[in-house]
Amino acid sequence: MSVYSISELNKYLKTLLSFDKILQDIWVKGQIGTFTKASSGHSYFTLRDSDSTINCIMFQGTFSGVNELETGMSVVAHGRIAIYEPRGQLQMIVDVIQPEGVGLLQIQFDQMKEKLNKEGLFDESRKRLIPKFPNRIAVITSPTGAVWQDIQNVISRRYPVVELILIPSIVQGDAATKSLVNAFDILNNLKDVDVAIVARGGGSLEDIWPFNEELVARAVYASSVPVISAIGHETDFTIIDMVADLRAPTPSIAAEIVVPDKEELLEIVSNNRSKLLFYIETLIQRNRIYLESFPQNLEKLIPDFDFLRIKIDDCLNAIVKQFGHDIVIKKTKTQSLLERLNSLNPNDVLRRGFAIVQNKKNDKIIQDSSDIKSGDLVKITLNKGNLDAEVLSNQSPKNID
Amino acid sequence: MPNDKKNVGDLVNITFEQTFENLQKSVEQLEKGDLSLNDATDLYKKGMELVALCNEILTQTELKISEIKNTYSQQDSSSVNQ
Repeated sequence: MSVYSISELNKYLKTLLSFDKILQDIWVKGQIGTFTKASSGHSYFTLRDSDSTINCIMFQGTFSGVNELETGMSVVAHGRIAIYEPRGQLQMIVDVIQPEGVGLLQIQFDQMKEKLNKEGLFDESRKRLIPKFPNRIAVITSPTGAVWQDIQNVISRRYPVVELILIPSIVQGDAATKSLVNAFDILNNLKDVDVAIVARGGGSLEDIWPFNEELVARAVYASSVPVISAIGHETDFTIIDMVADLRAPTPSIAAEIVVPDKEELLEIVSNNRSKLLFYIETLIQRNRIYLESFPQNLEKLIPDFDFLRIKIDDCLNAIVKQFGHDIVIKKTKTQSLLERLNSLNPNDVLRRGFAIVQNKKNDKIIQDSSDIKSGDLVKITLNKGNLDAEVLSNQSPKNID
Repeated sequence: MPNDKKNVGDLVNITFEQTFENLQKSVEQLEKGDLSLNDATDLYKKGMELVALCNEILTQTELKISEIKNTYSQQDSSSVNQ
């Protein structure tokens, strides 16, 4: 028989507890007894029922479905059981706490939602657009259910121009998670798939639970093509609805969303046909009007001979008129020049009684008495006849004065 | 179960999307009205062919369905109805 130290005992107990699957992943319900929040942010409290109590610690930042914990509150808590060696005290390390009545699955749902949201799996920014005209659509669902039939029917009616590829999967029960993850692996290895639908019909919260599983959520997140989720009824919300690029309220609606409507397309095509006809007819009509206008245009190009004749006449008249006018002006000018010329004729001056005196020697007209000396001979021209004379005396203008 | 219906042979390699887009483009181009009569007539002919092709694809194509044979059958032990 060995004797253990207290430390050894507590260490042994701690190891024992850590190997117990139930105690490491346990849900408990009870009322909060004493409650204190340390300055570190960790919460210390007891959980109790009518007969028993356990000490609990909840570290800061732990997911909590209640804003403020307080004494007397009925709660459901998740965590692990451990022993605090220094005091040999058994305690529960709580990692989830929710008011009682919310339900276990709901708590797990909220916890997963918060976790994945923090990681950014729901970010709007990473949502991909669903292609408008897909060619190949993968459908991950059960091959035997009504859902697969509904999807085929809707797509066949709306837009049969596609290829539907069924990736069969278990959609309920424990095997569903693995099967769904496997289906997404297959999807990622398929070529030329444009979009995928992951679908399941309505059911209880437990039934649709695989679609809240972390592994499935991560598989949807990692999908190589945009994913439309369509799980259950309109009121059912699953984790993958938030991860998917688009959530459809039901599988049938997913099938409606994923393809365009044949009838609408046919109408657009028909409208386009009408437009083509209208535009070409308009163009032909315009060209016809243009062509028909040609005879008129040609006529316009021929010169108006009558008009030209009149114009030529006008020009002639104008020329004649202008020419006549010029002659009158010139005649008048000539007359006035002649008169001016006459007035300058020296004979005219002689007629008025003046005489021209020239030096007999050189015929130079004498205008200054200094130009000639006494005794020089001069020639005097009168109005009628000439005289030869001799200068008797010469008087300068000064002498005259 | 595999449910392979026949696809309209000639149309397999023509995507509706491409045909539909080409038709839209033809109409828009013709709508602008700055084309010669020759070019417009060509475009009109092409457009009408695309109209016929669109209608044919939409009305003649049948849904093609295939099923991936995977490990599903091995996992088929639990209930999968729904």
